[in-house]
Amino acid sequence: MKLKYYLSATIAFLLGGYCLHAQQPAFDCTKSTFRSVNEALKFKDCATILSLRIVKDEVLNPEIGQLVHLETVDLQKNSYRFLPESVGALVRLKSMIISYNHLKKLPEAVGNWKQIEFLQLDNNGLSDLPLSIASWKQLKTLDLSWNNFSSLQKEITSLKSIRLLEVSHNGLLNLPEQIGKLSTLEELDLTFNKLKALPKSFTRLDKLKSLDLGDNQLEVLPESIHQMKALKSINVNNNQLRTLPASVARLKSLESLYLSNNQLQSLPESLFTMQHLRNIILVGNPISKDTIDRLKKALPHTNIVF
Amino acid sequence: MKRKFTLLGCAALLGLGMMEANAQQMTTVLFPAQSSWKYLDNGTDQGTAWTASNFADAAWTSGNAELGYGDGDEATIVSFGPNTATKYTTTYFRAQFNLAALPTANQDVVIKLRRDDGAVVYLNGQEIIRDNMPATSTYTTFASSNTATENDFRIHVIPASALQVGTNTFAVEVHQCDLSSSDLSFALQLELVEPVPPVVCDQDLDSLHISRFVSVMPSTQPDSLRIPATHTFQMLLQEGDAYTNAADGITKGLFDFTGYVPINNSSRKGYLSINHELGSWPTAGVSMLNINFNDTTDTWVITNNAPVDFGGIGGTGRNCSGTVTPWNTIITSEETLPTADVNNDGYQDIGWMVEIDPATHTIKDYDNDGTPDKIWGMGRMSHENCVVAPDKKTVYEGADESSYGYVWKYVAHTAGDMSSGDLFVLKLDGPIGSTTTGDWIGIPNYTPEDCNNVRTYASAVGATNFNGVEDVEISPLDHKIYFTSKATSRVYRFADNGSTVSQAEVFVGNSATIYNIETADGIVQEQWDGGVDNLTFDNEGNLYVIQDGGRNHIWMVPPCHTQTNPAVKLFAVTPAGCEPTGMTLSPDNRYMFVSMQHPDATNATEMRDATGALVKFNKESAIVIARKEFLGPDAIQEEDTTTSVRVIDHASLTSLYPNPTTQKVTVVMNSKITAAATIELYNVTGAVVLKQDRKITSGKNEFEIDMQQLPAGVYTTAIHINGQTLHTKIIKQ
Repeated sequence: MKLKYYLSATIAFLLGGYCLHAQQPAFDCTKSTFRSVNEALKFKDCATILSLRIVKDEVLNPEIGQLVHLETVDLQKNSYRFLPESVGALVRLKSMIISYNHLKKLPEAVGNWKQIEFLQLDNNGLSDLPLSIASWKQLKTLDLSWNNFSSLQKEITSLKSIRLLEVSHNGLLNLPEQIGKLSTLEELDLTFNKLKALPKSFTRLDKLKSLDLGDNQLEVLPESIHQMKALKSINVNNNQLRTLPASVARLKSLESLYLSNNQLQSLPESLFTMQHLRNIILVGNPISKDTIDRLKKALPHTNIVF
Repeated sequence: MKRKFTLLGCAALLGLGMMEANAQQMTTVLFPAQSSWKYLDNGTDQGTAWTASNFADAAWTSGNAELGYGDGDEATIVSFGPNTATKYTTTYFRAQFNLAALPTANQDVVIKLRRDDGAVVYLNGQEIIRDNMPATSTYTTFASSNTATENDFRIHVIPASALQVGTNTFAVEVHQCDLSSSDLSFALQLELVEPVPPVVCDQDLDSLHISRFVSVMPSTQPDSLRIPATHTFQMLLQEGDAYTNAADGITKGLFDFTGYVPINNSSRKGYLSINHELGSWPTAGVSMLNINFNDTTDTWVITNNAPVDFGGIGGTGRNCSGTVTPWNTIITSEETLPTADVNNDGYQDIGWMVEIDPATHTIKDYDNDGTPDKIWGMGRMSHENCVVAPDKKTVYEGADESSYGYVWKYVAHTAGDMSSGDLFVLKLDGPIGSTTTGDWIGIPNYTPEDCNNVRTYASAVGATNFNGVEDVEISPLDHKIYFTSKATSRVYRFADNGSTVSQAEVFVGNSATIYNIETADGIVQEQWDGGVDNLTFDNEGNLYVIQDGGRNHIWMVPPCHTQTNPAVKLFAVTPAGCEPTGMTLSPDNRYMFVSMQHPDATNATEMRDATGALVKFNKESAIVIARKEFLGPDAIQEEDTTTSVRVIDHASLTSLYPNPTTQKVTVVMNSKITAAATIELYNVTGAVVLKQDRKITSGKNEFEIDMQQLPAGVYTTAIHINGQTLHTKIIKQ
């Protein structure tokens, strides 16, 4: 047995790989991720990235408002119940993550985030948003999932650049009448809500590629759904649909139609012409075997699951 | 060994009004709840003399418990006096029992007491329980409250010293809460309770195997790391440590998957890939370290540390866990983020598996178009990790989502090439527990839209939701698939039969389960608790289970464990505030690489690690753990494998422990034949210092070599069988 002594180990430690770290890294303030507000305040003229993720905070230091150069902020997994008004001073903010906190509401001052492009507010206790969100003209991604929204106010339809909107796992009873104004929207996730109907303007979302309406209480889909011509997938699993609009067949980009666990007894004749449809899932619907057999014959290249 | 046994389980469940803890324990009833008691129900004040062992109670009435009135369930009705509005405040009870022997050190003395409304219990003249009574009391003192739990058997652990061999005497006074109380109930049971020791099945494990250890004492998280006394650790990397190239800045935080990738299957030279679950897309990522084991210092050295550049794929998000593939690449697992298809390639940008070449720190470019790719075919979901089977084609993965917590299987079309394959989701034939079988349902993954929507498809075809699937691993022993569900805090397992699965069951957990842990200080009980997360198998099928929740332990579950005969061990109690993450082992199973994510910044205790450095777990830390024989100043010189023979034609040396030893060494070997054997022990000069003739039988053989009288040093043992010799070294300390 060779006996090692701490001395030799320490020398080796110093001379070995850790000597690599004797070289100080170049400090680039704008690329550095600051891990506390106080640390960032020392560089408040240049601090751009702040991550307070899992710092086990209950109150966000209001001095964050002095960090006016911040562009990326991550506050995920803390216990914030509110944000200080001073966050309104973060006028250069582009990306903000506030997931997994206890927020009940946002301050009106967030309307000053006019450059915001990416905002995660999921897994909080929000039930509404300030009216000032209409100022978020650059916002592309908004995640409101796992909150307490029963409705979305009309100001959300002012998000002129929005591409992705997630509002799953809330208690939505309805959608804003003017939701069709979100003409840039490409992905919409409304699963696990309580929607019974969609507003008329809904089908004006003609850039929408992916529509997730699963686990709601919808009884019909709008007849004008054909206007949503960019749709590639429609998920209406676990709803109360009794019929499908015939116009669905006019969605030429549609690849997948998820219809499991509805009340469909029949399918529109037009559906039997959708040769371009790749997947149609009909599990848990009272559709006759004859209808399924006819569908299989009509769409031999479509994956039909029933 | 003195064993301590605390009724943690009982105490924890008492608040729930339950009688039995669910930890396994053996109960010996010394005095049953239906026993006969002498009682005095005439409303007289007996003062204090009646509690003495030799008090003359012959004139008292007797009857079996339960004693009381008013509830209708009494075996013996006692009197409350002539007036229902002014019932006797106190009723007295006495009973004797004989004890042949005092409890052992393993046994707790437990009294289960039903008292309506309050009681003071004396044993052999000494007060041992005061339940729902003020600190002092007389005949006229009312019980403290009219409790809703008056009919529960309340559990009290009393000191064993209260008992005596021979005759023991109970004296109990039961008090009403007021004069008009409608009922009175009294019964008492005396038990000796001892934990069932966990099953032990490491006899055949090599004496120096990393999984041979005595469980650590469980507790809440201290501000340092607690691992077995036989093991040590080395701090490898902490958040903020500089990357080798200064231009790369410093190492980010939120260490997660900590994957050792061997170079040429070496356990002494490899890469260490550390995920950063930073979540700040697109800045999350992976740090790739080159590490070597220094044979002079017996410690690990980092020779390079560089961030992996994910720029070519637009960044990664929430790099959670991952895997080391059989062809020695890293797969890092992205949990989903609500990111659209910013680069317009048809695939949503985040929520995929990503394969990294650790040597070049680059992302795989499967189609060789100059742009790296994510593994689209494995689907978009909140990936926790994956595991690749030895066939290099079959991959299992889980989705860490409450609504879509599915288990998936991906079968690559070409071994070692993840770029294309068939995807399946697990659908059991019913809830686990009521069924053990299920099917793999094919999931289309041919187009970007398919890959983006695999969860929706799986939901539509009724895949089984396990509610937050975390790690998935394959046992090297039974080849079953094991996976965790954080929400239920269970480890499940099943056998994969190709298109179907069978033997689906709970292997260990759930959160309420209390296991008996054999520590150096005896058996203690510890609740499994919530948040089981990462899994790691060693080469012998021992399963390490890491918690993100509960007390954030690192458990070890040996392969012999069953829910009816638990064998759970506790490997580590982790530093305050941290979640242990991402364990992997070196190929020789000597070195365990694991990270401590988000420990408290206030953790102040300095620990001396294997390099001799004083370290604190006050920031993100990646460490290596090993037995002291293989890491740090107490490491032993490597065995010369050219002179060590552990396998011959008819026999193999399975284990030899403890090694080093101070007294005896147990030799475990397997033989295919029954034959005469000669065991010899040589010292360093080659002199034979011990010789034994022994008959070896076919099968497992176990015998001891007594080295107590030999001086400290290195010895060689030789076992001669049929003209061949097994030999290896033993260190006498």
